[in-house]
Amino acid sequence: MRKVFLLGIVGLVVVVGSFTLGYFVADRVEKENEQEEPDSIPDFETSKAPVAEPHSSGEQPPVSVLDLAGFERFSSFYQRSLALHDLIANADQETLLQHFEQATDSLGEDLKYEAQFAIVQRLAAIDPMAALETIDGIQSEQSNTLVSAIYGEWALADLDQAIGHVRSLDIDSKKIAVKSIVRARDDLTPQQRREIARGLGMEWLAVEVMEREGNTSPIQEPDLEWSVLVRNNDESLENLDDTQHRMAVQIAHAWVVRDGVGAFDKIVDLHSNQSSLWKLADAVTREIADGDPRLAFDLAIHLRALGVIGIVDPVVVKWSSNDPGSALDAVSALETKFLRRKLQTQVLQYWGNADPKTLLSGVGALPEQLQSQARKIALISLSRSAPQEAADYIGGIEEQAILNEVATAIVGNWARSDISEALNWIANETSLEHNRNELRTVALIGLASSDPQEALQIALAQPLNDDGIGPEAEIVDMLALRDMDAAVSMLGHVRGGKTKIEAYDSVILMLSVVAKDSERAVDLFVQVCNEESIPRDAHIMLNIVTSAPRMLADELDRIESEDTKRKVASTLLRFHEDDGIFTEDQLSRLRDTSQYGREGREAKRQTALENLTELLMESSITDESESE
Amino acid sequence: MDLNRGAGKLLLIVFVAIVLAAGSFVLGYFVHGSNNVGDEGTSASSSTSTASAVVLEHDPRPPQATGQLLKFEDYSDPARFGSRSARTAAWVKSLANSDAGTLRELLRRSKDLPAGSWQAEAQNTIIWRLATLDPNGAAAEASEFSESRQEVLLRFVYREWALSDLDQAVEYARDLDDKLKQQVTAVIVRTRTDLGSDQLRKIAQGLDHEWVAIDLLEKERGLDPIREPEDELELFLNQHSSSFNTLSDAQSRLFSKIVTALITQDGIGALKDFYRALPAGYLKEGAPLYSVIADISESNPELALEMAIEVGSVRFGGLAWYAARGWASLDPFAALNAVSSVEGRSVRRMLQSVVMESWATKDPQELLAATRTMPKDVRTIGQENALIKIAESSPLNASKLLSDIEDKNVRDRLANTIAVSWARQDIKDAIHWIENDQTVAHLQDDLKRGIFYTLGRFHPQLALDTALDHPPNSDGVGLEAHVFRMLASTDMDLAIRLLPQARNDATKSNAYDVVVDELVKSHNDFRHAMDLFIQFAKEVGIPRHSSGLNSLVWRTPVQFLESLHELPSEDLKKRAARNLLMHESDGVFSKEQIAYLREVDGSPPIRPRSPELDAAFDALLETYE
Repeated sequence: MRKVFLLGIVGLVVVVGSFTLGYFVADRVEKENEQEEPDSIPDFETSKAPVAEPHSSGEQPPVSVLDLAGFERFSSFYQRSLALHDLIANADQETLLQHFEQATDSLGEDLKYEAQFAIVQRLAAIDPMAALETIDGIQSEQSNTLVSAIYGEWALADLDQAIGHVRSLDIDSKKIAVKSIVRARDDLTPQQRREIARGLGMEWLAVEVMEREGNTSPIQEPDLEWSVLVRNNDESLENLDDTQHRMAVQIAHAWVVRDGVGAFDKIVDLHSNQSSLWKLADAVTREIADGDPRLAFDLAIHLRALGVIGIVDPVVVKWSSNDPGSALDAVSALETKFLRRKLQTQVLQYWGNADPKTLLSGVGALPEQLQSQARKIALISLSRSAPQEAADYIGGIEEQAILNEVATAIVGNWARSDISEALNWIANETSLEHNRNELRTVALIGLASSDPQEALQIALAQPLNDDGIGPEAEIVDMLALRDMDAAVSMLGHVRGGKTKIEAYDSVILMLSVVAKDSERAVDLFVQVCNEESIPRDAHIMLNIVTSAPRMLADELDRIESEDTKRKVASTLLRFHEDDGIFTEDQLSRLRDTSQYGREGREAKRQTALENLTELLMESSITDESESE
Repeated sequence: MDLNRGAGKLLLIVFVAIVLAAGSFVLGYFVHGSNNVGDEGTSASSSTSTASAVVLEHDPRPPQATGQLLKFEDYSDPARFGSRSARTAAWVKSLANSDAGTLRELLRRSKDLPAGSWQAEAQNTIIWRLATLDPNGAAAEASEFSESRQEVLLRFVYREWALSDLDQAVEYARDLDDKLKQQVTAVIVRTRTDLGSDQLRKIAQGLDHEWVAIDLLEKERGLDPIREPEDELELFLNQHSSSFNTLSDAQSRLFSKIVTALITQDGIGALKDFYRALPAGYLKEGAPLYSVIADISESNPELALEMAIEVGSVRFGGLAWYAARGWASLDPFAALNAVSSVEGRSVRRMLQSVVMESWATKDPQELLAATRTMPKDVRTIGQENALIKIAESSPLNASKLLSDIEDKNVRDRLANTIAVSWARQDIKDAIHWIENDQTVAHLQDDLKRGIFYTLGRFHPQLALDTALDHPPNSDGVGLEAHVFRMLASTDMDLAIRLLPQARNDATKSNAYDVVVDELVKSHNDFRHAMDLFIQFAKEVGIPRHSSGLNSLVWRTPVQFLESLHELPSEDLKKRAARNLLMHESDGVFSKEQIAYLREVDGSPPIRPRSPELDAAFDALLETYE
């Protein structure tokens, strides 16, 4: 018996000891494992925020939203959120208002928004009007979220009252409210939700919300709905207001998605007003393009055949920016030749701008007739960010027109960042031999966009071209578009003769056509007339005479040379003698001015005419004797 | 035997002891393990037992889920809780003790809920709770959702993750796509308010979006995280000296943040030290500078404008234009005052115009009223912009104001704008106005040309039909000729298709001319142009002055010569040949080709030119100068 008892004791000791040993071994193993994980030690000393332990206890529950701030009190944001809900769950209106005020004034952004939302939502369940008043002063983006929370609650507590209040809102607030009510009452049928929004004049918004929620349109029978819409508008769709128009867009959208592009035929039949049809077609196509660019493209092409034009381009642009390959395939299958070519160019242009390298590497896979155009577009685009890289491809271009275009782009862009490298390339690249001079001018224009003074200095050192014009005229021309005042100040530095007239002409043209500053244009014209002899049919003369005739006539006396004055007056008369621009008095003065030196000129003309007649006679005698 | 029996007993005892000891050891080992599992609450088991611990505390009494997984239908109707607020509180509480397995199962089932606000809320809370237990798993679950839902769900995940294990969170975020990475960077910066600016910037830098940290620290915490902008700019320039033209969007934004800080702290002059370190022209037009202007404009629009002018970006659409437009949208009076004191005459006028345009977009009537006290030159710009905007919505109102405009050029331009806006809304009313308002009587032809030309682009058939209802001009050319001119440049397929609708020979001739001209000039399509020219010749006959013929002669002379035999009459061949001979001395044709042209034309071979005769001609011409 004692043996058994002894054995029992030993057994118990063994069991307890082994259990304890097992327990401690497990504990030891775990600790060793923890120590053997140096890789998992955070790199940041701050990897773990100073949060509370998961099941820490002993803390008093928060009594104010301020107690929620800081990490120390909670093990996670989730725990903090629980505490926030506990804090406000049974709070009365007054306490909630205090909490809101404290949250708004004293909490950091993240917690502030969370707390404001929860408090306002709870407050709305008690007194929605008070909730609206509470957020009255909030200006931030958060305001819309809070308004949504209030109407969401209100729609649940008392839908009729909420709707009644929404009626009094301005259009923007109404949109937010209707959206939240429709969202909140997802316990109702789609038809009921649409009716609520319809009563508030925003049924289209309910359709939009439900479509976004479920990825399908709540409009199941668009043809029937369309008939109702038409009937309700006296069989006419010409004068839809904004709300009706938006609803029409939703119905037409659903119809096209359900039945294909042919569904639009019936819609077109009902529109005698092209503007309202165009507006509807444009809106529907854009909506469809968001989710199904192929269908939008087909619709746009179908509409074009029905006489609604101008819809295709924006669809193709959008499609090109997301999936240029598919867009290119679609437009390349078009039968209309010129539209096809235009859209192909458009797609390639977008593709090239977005990702020139991919387009360049994929050129070989494109239809043969598009390859050289695609290569050109890709290289021109590439030249904007990496001109040197684009230059490496120039040798492979066979068509000279394309080579010139690409080279011009490369040089212009390269010169902006490194003029000497650009000039060096022009000088040494064998394929550019035929137009090195033109490209040098392009390089100077490129440089002028970043450093006009340096470009001018280099240009002044260059020889005049075959027409007797220096490259600085081109620099002034480019500058007139980018910085008119700088261009005007540069005029005094360009070389005289044709170069100066050309430079003034560019500036005057830009002033009259783009800047619409005729006063300054005339002023500069007078200035150049006093420095250079302007031929009567020079572009600069025709330009100013047609763009600012009255002002020019008024300033005529400031031109010093009587002969130039005469030329200007006679040109003014040539263009405006009969078009009512000038009064009789002005015309009379212009006629007087144009008569200057008439006798001398006529005598000279007579001599020249006689000389010419004589030569012609001699020539005809020679002809006759030769033919005999 | 006794000995054997005794030894057997002993062996048995030892065996039992070993079994007991081993069993106890194993038991002790696993008891330890299971205790820890309980502590962590992260059992991967999908057992529903933990869900049974959920106690819903709200009033009215909640649907009880004890002993089984939570039921969504118990929560789907917020009315059962009295309010959405109470439902939210109950739902958050009900998940507070769920383990990861339960949460995953709930998430799986939530996907069968009807799409809507409750489904979204339920899923958000599940992922949020899961993120406190297993952020890595929560992020993986979130990645199964659509892109727009991922954006929402990852916000919950990373808020918790940044709190519990920032390193791991950052590591995981590195593999996200750029858009989500940017968003996650913002979440981390907003969450870890315990960290300093430098630490947060470093974390954001690791996620390639340092600018996000700077932006949030400035805007939400009112800090100046760039304390030494000069040093930072120098460092940035050194790091990116060879890649300035290919900066990523995030790098550009960082650059603009640094430059903004530099200018705001030290003024525009501080930037001059860095001009040389940047690619030429970069400071004038580089895209990041637009961000700088936008940033500075928020607090100091005057400084933004000053900077734009200082760097010389004064073109239309340039930095100064951009700064002035932004300022004008907020405070047009102040913006107008500021731009009116800019020195350069042309840039000043351009900026005044952009301010007025922005003002007109905001409130054209207010602008119109304000112009009464403006100096004359500025007043004209203001009136023009105001009336352009008014004409867009109400051409009738704009037309009534037209006679108030003093400057005739501006008045004429505005008349055209009003006519076009009106025609796009109602072409008949527009024509009625043009034909009856004395203010525009002198412009009737110009305005009609303008509206038919413009309308041809948007509503060609309507334009064509309306034009056909109106009499032709004194040359017999109908107004639809303007529609064809527009269509030829915008929609050639349609232009060609509609050609038969031109009313008479004079109009057809005009329409064919513009189409042939455009085919050669813009579409480089000689074959199509030639086919239409032949058709034109057969149908109408080529008039004395034909721009179509001129285009073929001047733009495609060689091809035209080679196709001369296709022309339908000998007279036309002769005329074309005569025209082509204008290229006789400019090297376009070979001797044989010139001989052929002369033969077709019937003219004798040309004699060498006499220099004396040329000089005599020039002398005569000079007297007409």
